[in-house]
Amino acid sequence: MRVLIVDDSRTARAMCKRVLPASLQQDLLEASGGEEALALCRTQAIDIVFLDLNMPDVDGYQVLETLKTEGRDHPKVIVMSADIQPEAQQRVAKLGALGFLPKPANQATVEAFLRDHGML
Amino acid sequence: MNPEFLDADQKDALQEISNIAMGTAASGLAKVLESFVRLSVPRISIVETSRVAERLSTTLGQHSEVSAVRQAFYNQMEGEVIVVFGEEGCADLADLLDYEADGPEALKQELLLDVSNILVGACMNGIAQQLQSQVSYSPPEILCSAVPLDRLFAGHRPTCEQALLIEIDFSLEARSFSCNMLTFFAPESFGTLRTSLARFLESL
Repeated sequence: MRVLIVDDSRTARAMCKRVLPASLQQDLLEASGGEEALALCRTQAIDIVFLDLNMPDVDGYQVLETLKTEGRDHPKVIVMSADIQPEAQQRVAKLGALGFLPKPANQATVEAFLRDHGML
Repeated sequence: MNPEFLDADQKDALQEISNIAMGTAASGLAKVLESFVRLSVPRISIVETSRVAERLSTTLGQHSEVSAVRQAFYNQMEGEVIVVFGEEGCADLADLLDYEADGPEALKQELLLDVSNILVGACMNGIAQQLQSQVSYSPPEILCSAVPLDRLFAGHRPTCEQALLIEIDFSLEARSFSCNMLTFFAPESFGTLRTSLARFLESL
């Protein structure tokens, strides 16, 4: 599985990597912004994206909107955000995100989520 | 950013820690106001406190008048948090919380103190918890009420000459309410902050 982590913060990307199961760490890409993430989604065969919402320039909502507009049902996008408002979770679901994991995520939560969605 | 104080990794870590803390604060505010709260990306810088008001005019310049609440924190980290409200958004806030927009001044001040309390408590507790530090708070107080931006610190400004400033903006969608949370860490806290951030980064 090829995984893409999208976050403007290096720290957040490291925190995300740390909680991923070993099987998802074999083929890992990173993007520090929405524009870079979209470019990678268009040119690489990516299976799962862990996407932050609150980023400068192109934010996570815009990434989801663009992927939806372009008609891409792949990759599967899991939002990983500190914005834990229920409405944020509803909005990303409407935009096609597979799920929402609040930051800081822990290994057990991530593994349970992936297992529930047949990714482990 | 002063390179002798925080390196790029430590600054990035503090930004992410602030981001996580403000997410909790926004959630608390959204619950109270029953509205979706939009967040900015936190901004971190070293500032001369005597020049803060001038500097804020770039982000707060759209407000003709502002009101502000101040709350000091101390213990393992020291400093103060100032929440600045655009005056035109205060009426919106009163409306959202079913207060009378043209009600008595004391009621408006109570409203600002309540909102600040939600934001400051959640943000500072979130930052302190992630850095494994303890903080205590002074009671919140009104710093100024309906004054031009250049009078924001007329009655009081952060006591230290230089401070580490974290700026976070909260706003409501489809409403004019917005506020800016300014967290000043005093130089006495720089050592603790640096050590805590180094420990945090080592744990990744």
